[in-house]
Amino acid sequence: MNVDDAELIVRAQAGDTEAFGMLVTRHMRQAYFSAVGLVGSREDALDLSQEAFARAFHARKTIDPARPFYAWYYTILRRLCFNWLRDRRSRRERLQQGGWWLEEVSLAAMDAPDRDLERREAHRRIAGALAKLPDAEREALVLKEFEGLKYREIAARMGTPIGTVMSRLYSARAHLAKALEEQ
Amino acid sequence: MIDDRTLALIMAVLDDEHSPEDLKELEDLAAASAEVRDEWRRQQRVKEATSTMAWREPTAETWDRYWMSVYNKTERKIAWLLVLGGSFVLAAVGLWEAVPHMLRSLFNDSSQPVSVRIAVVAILLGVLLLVVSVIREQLTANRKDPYDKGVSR
Repeated sequence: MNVDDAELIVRAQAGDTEAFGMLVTRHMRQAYFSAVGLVGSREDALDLSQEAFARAFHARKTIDPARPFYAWYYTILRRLCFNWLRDRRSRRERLQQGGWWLEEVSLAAMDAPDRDLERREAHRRIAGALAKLPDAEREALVLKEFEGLKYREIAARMGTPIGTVMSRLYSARAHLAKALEEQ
Repeated sequence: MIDDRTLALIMAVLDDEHSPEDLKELEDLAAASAEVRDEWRRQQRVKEATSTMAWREPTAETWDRYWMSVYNKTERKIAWLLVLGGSFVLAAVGLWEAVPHMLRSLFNDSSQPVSVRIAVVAILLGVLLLVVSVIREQLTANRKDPYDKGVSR
Protein backbone atom coordinates (compact mmCIF):
# COMPACT_ATOMS: atom_id res chain seq x y z
CA MET A 1 0.00 0.00 0.00
CA ASN A 2 1.40 3.36 -0.99
CA VAL A 3 0.66 5.82 1.82
CA ASP A 4 1.80 9.42 1.53
CA ASP A 5 4.05 11.16 4.07
CA ALA A 6 1.23 13.32 5.43
CA GLU A 7 -0.81 10.26 6.46
CA LEU A 8 2.23 8.61 8.03
CA ILE A 9 2.98 11.80 9.99
CA VAL A 10 -0.59 11.94 11.31
CA ARG A 11 -0.39 8.28 12.33
CA ALA A 12 3.01 8.78 13.96
CA GLN A 13 1.64 11.77 15.87
CA ALA A 14 -1.11 9.51 17.17
CA GLY A 15 1.54 7.15 18.55
CA ASP A 16 1.94 4.71 15.66
CA THR A 17 5.64 3.80 15.79
CA GLU A 18 5.34 1.59 12.72
CA ALA A 19 4.16 4.59 10.67
CA PHE A 20 7.20 6.53 11.78
CA GLY A 21 9.33 3.53 10.82
CA MET A 22 7.85 3.69 7.32
CA LEU A 23 8.77 7.38 7.14
CA VAL A 24 12.33 6.55 8.20
CA THR A 25 12.64 3.74 5.67
CA ARG A 26 11.33 6.01 2.93
CA HIS A 27 13.79 8.83 3.63
CA MET A 28 16.82 7.03 5.12
CA ARG A 29 18.89 6.96 1.92
CA GLN A 30 18.48 10.66 1.26
CA ALA A 31 19.14 11.38 4.94
CA TYR A 32 22.32 9.32 4.98
CA PHE A 33 23.67 10.85 1.78
CA SER A 34 22.84 14.37 2.96
CA ALA A 35 24.80 13.67 6.15
CA VAL A 36 27.72 12.14 4.23
CA GLY A 37 27.91 15.28 2.10
CA LEU A 38 28.02 17.43 5.21
CA VAL A 39 30.38 15.45 7.45
CA GLY A 40 32.27 13.24 4.99
CA SER A 41 32.43 10.14 7.16
CA ARG A 42 30.28 7.02 6.65
CA GLU A 43 29.98 5.97 10.29
CA ASP A 44 29.31 9.49 11.53
CA ALA A 45 26.82 10.14 8.73
CA LEU A 46 24.93 6.99 9.69
CA ASP A 47 24.93 7.88 13.35
CA LEU A 48 23.95 11.53 12.78
CA SER A 49 21.17 10.73 10.32
CA GLN A 50 19.75 8.14 12.74
CA GLU A 51 20.07 10.52 15.68
CA ALA A 52 18.20 13.16 13.65
CA PHE A 53 15.36 10.66 13.06
CA ALA A 54 15.29 9.87 16.79
CA ARG A 55 15.00 13.59 17.55
CA ALA A 56 12.36 13.94 14.85
CA PHE A 57 10.38 11.16 16.53
CA HIS A 58 10.43 12.98 19.86
CA ALA A 59 9.40 16.24 18.17
CA ARG A 60 6.81 14.61 15.87
CA LYS A 61 3.93 16.53 17.43
CA THR A 62 5.38 19.73 15.96
CA ILE A 63 5.46 18.46 12.35
CA ASP A 64 2.98 20.08 10.00
CA PRO A 65 1.62 17.18 7.88
CA ALA A 66 0.77 19.64 5.10
CA ARG A 67 4.46 20.45 4.57
CA PRO A 68 7.18 18.18 3.18
CA PHE A 69 8.55 15.89 5.88
CA TYR A 70 12.10 15.75 4.53
CA ALA A 71 12.54 19.54 4.47
CA TRP A 72 11.55 19.62 8.15
CA TYR A 73 13.78 16.67 8.98
CA TYR A 74 16.71 18.25 7.12
CA THR A 75 16.70 21.26 9.47
CA ILE A 76 17.32 18.86 12.39
CA LEU A 77 19.95 16.89 10.49
CA ARG A 78 21.76 20.01 9.29
CA ARG A 79 21.97 21.45 12.79
CA LEU A 80 23.28 18.16 14.19
CA CYS A 81 25.90 17.89 11.44
CA PHE A 82 27.15 21.45 11.85
CA ASN A 83 27.33 21.06 15.61
CA TRP A 84 29.27 17.85 15.04
CA LEU A 85 31.66 19.59 12.65
CA ARG A 86 32.12 22.47 15.07
CA ASP A 87 32.86 20.10 17.93
CA ARG A 88 35.40 17.97 16.05
CA ARG A 89 38.82 19.52 15.86
CA SER A 90 39.92 16.75 13.55
CA ARG A 91 37.12 17.27 11.05
CA ARG A 92 39.45 18.44 8.31
CA GLU A 93 41.51 15.29 8.63
CA ARG A 94 38.39 13.14 8.56
CA LEU A 95 37.02 14.94 5.53
CA GLN A 96 40.33 14.66 3.78
CA GLN A 97 40.42 10.90 4.03
CA GLY A 98 40.21 10.86 0.26
CA GLY A 99 36.63 11.53 -0.75
CA TRP A 100 35.90 7.79 -0.52
CA TRP A 101 32.25 8.71 -0.28
CA LEU A 102 32.17 9.60 -3.96
CA GLU A 103 32.57 7.26 -6.87
CA GLU A 104 32.60 7.57 -10.63
CA VAL A 105 29.39 6.80 -12.45
CA SER A 106 29.57 3.78 -14.74
CA LEU A 107 29.77 5.72 -18.01
CA ALA A 108 33.37 6.57 -17.14
CA ALA A 109 34.26 2.92 -17.70
CA MET A 110 33.32 3.25 -21.37
CA ASP A 111 36.00 5.86 -22.05
CA ALA A 112 39.27 5.24 -23.81
CA PRO A 113 42.08 4.33 -21.33
CA ASP A 114 43.88 7.69 -21.55
CA ARG A 115 40.61 9.61 -21.17
CA ASP A 116 39.62 7.33 -18.29
CA LEU A 117 42.91 8.01 -16.52
CA GLU A 118 42.46 11.73 -16.99
CA ARG A 119 38.94 11.54 -15.59
CA ARG A 120 40.08 9.53 -12.59
CA GLU A 121 42.74 12.10 -11.81
CA ALA A 122 40.15 14.88 -12.12
CA HIS A 123 37.85 13.00 -9.74
CA ARG A 124 40.63 12.51 -7.24
CA ARG A 125 41.38 16.22 -7.26
CA ILE A 126 37.71 17.17 -7.08
CA ALA A 127 37.10 14.85 -4.10
CA GLY A 128 40.10 16.29 -2.26
CA ALA A 129 39.08 19.88 -2.98
CA LEU A 130 35.47 19.19 -2.01
CA ALA A 131 36.61 18.05 1.41
CA LYS A 132 38.50 21.30 1.95
CA LEU A 133 35.62 23.61 1.01
CA PRO A 134 34.03 25.82 3.67
CA ASP A 135 30.94 24.03 5.09
CA ALA A 136 28.40 26.40 3.52
CA GLU A 137 29.94 26.07 0.06
CA ARG A 138 30.20 22.30 0.30
CA GLU A 139 26.58 22.04 1.39
CA ALA A 140 25.38 24.15 -1.57
CA LEU A 141 27.46 22.12 -4.03
CA VAL A 142 26.39 18.76 -2.62
CA LEU A 143 22.71 19.73 -2.71
CA LYS A 144 23.09 20.86 -6.32
CA GLU A 145 25.38 18.22 -7.79
CA PHE A 146 24.61 15.10 -5.81
CA GLU A 147 21.02 15.64 -4.69
CA GLY A 148 20.00 17.41 -7.89
CA LEU A 149 17.99 20.16 -6.22
CA LYS A 150 16.92 23.40 -7.91
CA TYR A 151 18.24 26.73 -6.63
CA ARG A 152 14.95 27.59 -4.91
CA GLU A 153 14.95 24.20 -3.14
CA ILE A 154 18.54 24.65 -1.99
CA ALA A 155 17.69 28.16 -0.77
CA ALA A 156 14.78 26.76 1.24
CA ARG A 157 16.94 23.98 2.73
CA MET A 158 19.75 26.36 3.67
CA GLY A 159 17.51 29.24 4.73
CA THR A 160 19.29 31.69 2.44
CA PRO A 161 18.30 33.79 -0.58
CA ILE A 162 18.82 32.26 -4.06
CA GLY A 163 21.52 34.84 -4.77
CA THR A 164 23.53 33.55 -1.80
CA VAL A 165 23.14 29.97 -3.04
CA MET A 166 24.46 30.98 -6.48
CA SER A 167 27.41 32.87 -5.06
CA ARG A 168 28.29 29.92 -2.79
CA LEU A 169 28.07 27.58 -5.77
CA TYR A 170 30.30 29.86 -7.80
CA SER A 171 32.81 30.11 -5.01
CA ALA A 172 32.80 26.33 -4.47
CA ARG A 173 33.30 25.63 -8.16
CA ALA A 174 36.07 28.22 -8.37
CA HIS A 175 37.88 26.30 -5.61
CA LEU A 176 37.38 23.03 -7.48
CA ALA A 177 38.54 24.60 -10.75
CA LYS A 178 41.71 25.75 -9.03
CA ALA A 179 42.30 22.21 -7.75
CA LEU A 180 41.87 20.83 -11.27
CA GLU A 181 44.37 23.31 -12.66
CA GLU A 182 47.05 22.64 -10.04
CA GLN A 183 49.91 20.48 -11.26
CA MET B 1 37.17 41.48 -13.33
CA ILE B 2 33.92 39.63 -13.97
CA ASP B 3 30.85 41.20 -12.35
CA ASP B 4 28.32 39.37 -10.15
CA ARG B 5 25.63 39.40 -12.83
CA THR B 6 27.90 37.56 -15.28
CA LEU B 7 28.93 35.00 -12.65
CA ALA B 8 25.25 34.39 -11.81
CA LEU B 9 24.54 33.90 -15.53
CA ILE B 10 27.36 31.36 -15.82
CA MET B 11 25.97 29.44 -12.83
CA ALA B 12 22.40 29.52 -14.17
CA VAL B 13 23.48 28.29 -17.61
CA LEU B 14 25.68 25.52 -16.16
CA ASP B 15 22.88 24.32 -13.90
CA ASP B 16 20.23 24.59 -16.57
CA GLU B 17 18.25 27.15 -14.62
CA HIS B 18 18.36 29.87 -17.24
CA SER B 19 15.92 31.50 -19.61
CA PRO B 20 16.63 31.87 -23.37
CA GLU B 21 17.35 35.55 -22.66
CA ASP B 22 19.92 34.62 -20.00
CA LEU B 23 21.74 32.36 -22.45
CA LYS B 24 21.74 35.05 -25.15
CA GLU B 25 23.04 37.60 -22.67
CA LEU B 26 25.86 35.29 -21.57
CA GLU B 27 26.78 34.40 -25.14
CA ASP B 28 26.98 38.09 -26.01
CA LEU B 29 29.16 38.77 -22.96
CA ALA B 30 31.42 35.83 -23.84
CA ALA B 31 31.73 37.00 -27.43
CA ALA B 32 32.87 40.40 -26.21
CA SER B 33 35.24 39.27 -23.44
CA ALA B 34 37.98 36.63 -23.38
CA GLU B 35 37.91 36.69 -19.59
CA VAL B 36 34.23 35.71 -19.54
CA ARG B 37 34.84 32.99 -22.13
CA ASP B 38 37.72 31.54 -20.07
CA GLU B 39 35.74 31.60 -16.84
CA TRP B 40 32.73 29.95 -18.49
CA ARG B 41 34.99 27.19 -19.91
CA ARG B 42 36.72 26.76 -16.54
CA GLN B 43 33.41 26.33 -14.75
CA GLN B 44 32.15 23.96 -17.45
CA ARG B 45 35.14 21.72 -16.83
CA VAL B 46 34.27 21.47 -13.13
CA LYS B 47 30.61 20.81 -13.93
CA GLU B 48 31.61 18.00 -16.31
CA ALA B 49 33.79 16.40 -13.64
CA THR B 50 31.22 16.60 -10.83
CA SER B 51 28.40 15.39 -13.07
CA THR B 52 30.24 12.07 -13.55
CA MET B 53 30.55 11.49 -9.81
CA ALA B 54 27.95 9.93 -7.54
CA TRP B 55 27.45 8.77 -3.96
CA ARG B 56 29.15 5.55 -3.02
CA GLU B 57 26.48 3.07 -1.90
CA PRO B 58 26.80 1.51 1.55
CA THR B 59 26.14 -2.21 1.98
CA ALA B 60 22.60 -3.62 1.91
CA GLU B 61 22.89 -4.55 5.61
CA THR B 62 23.28 -0.87 6.42
CA TRP B 63 19.74 -0.26 5.18
CA ASP B 64 18.40 -3.45 6.78
CA ARG B 65 19.60 -2.32 10.21
CA TYR B 66 18.82 1.36 9.79
CA TRP B 67 15.31 1.57 11.26
CA MET B 68 16.20 -0.74 14.16
CA SER B 69 19.09 1.57 15.07
CA VAL B 70 16.77 4.59 15.00
CA TYR B 71 14.28 2.68 17.15
CA ASN B 72 16.99 1.77 19.66
CA LYS B 73 18.18 5.36 19.85
CA THR B 74 14.61 6.54 20.44
CA GLU B 75 14.05 3.94 23.16
CA ARG B 76 17.36 4.73 24.87
CA LYS B 77 16.64 8.44 24.75
CA ILE B 78 13.38 7.84 26.64
CA ALA B 79 15.20 5.58 29.12
CA TRP B 80 17.89 8.19 29.74
CA LEU B 81 15.29 10.92 30.17
CA LEU B 82 13.53 8.81 32.82
CA VAL B 83 16.78 7.97 34.62
CA LEU B 84 18.06 11.55 34.53
CA GLY B 85 14.68 13.04 35.42
CA GLY B 86 14.28 10.72 38.42
CA SER B 87 17.85 11.31 39.55
CA PHE B 88 17.45 15.07 39.22
CA VAL B 89 14.29 15.08 41.37
CA LEU B 90 15.94 12.86 43.99
CA ALA B 91 19.06 15.03 44.07
CA ALA B 92 16.99 18.22 44.31
CA VAL B 93 14.91 16.84 47.19
CA GLY B 94 18.05 15.59 48.94
CA LEU B 95 19.81 18.93 48.62
CA TRP B 96 16.71 20.80 49.70
CA GLU B 97 16.63 18.73 52.88
CA ALA B 98 20.37 18.44 53.52
CA VAL B 99 21.79 21.88 52.71
CA PRO B 100 19.82 23.94 55.28
CA HIS B 101 20.57 21.30 57.93
CA MET B 102 24.27 21.32 57.03
CA LEU B 103 24.43 25.13 57.06
CA ARG B 104 22.62 25.35 60.41
CA SER B 105 24.98 22.89 62.06
CA LEU B 106 28.01 24.59 60.46
CA PHE B 107 27.10 28.07 61.66
CA ASN B 108 25.72 27.00 65.05
CA ASP B 109 28.88 25.13 65.86
CA SER B 110 31.20 27.80 67.24
CA SER B 111 34.19 25.45 67.08
CA GLN B 112 34.13 25.59 63.23
CA PRO B 113 36.75 28.03 61.91
CA VAL B 114 35.53 30.98 59.80
CA SER B 115 37.62 29.82 56.84
CA VAL B 116 35.65 26.51 56.71
CA ARG B 117 32.35 28.39 56.82
CA ILE B 118 33.43 30.69 54.00
CA ALA B 119 34.68 27.73 51.95
CA VAL B 120 31.37 25.83 52.31
CA VAL B 121 29.36 28.90 51.27
CA ALA B 122 31.73 29.47 48.30
CA ILE B 123 31.33 25.86 47.15
CA LEU B 124 27.54 26.04 47.36
CA LEU B 125 27.47 29.32 45.41
CA GLY B 126 29.88 27.88 42.83
CA VAL B 127 27.72 24.77 42.29
CA LEU B 128 24.63 26.93 41.92
CA LEU B 129 26.38 29.18 39.39
CA LEU B 130 27.59 26.15 37.39
CA VAL B 131 24.10 24.67 37.23
CA VAL B 132 22.61 27.99 36.04
CA SER B 133 25.40 28.43 33.48
CA VAL B 134 25.04 24.91 32.03
CA ILE B 135 21.25 25.22 31.79
CA ARG B 136 21.55 28.61 30.07
CA GLU B 137 24.10 27.25 27.60
CA GLN B 138 21.91 24.26 26.77
CA LEU B 139 18.95 26.54 26.17
CA THR B 140 20.78 29.00 23.93
CA ALA B 141 23.87 27.41 22.32
CA ASN B 142 22.11 24.79 20.20
CA ARG B 143 19.80 27.36 18.69
CA LYS B 144 22.62 29.20 16.98
CA ASP B 145 23.08 28.47 13.28
CA PRO B 146 26.71 28.79 12.17
CA TYR B 147 25.47 30.22 8.87
CA ASP B 148 23.55 33.08 10.44
CA LYS B 149 26.61 35.28 10.45
CA GLY B 150 26.99 37.36 7.32
CA VAL B 151 23.94 36.01 5.57
CA SER B 152 21.49 38.63 4.40
CA ARG B 153 17.88 37.60 4.83
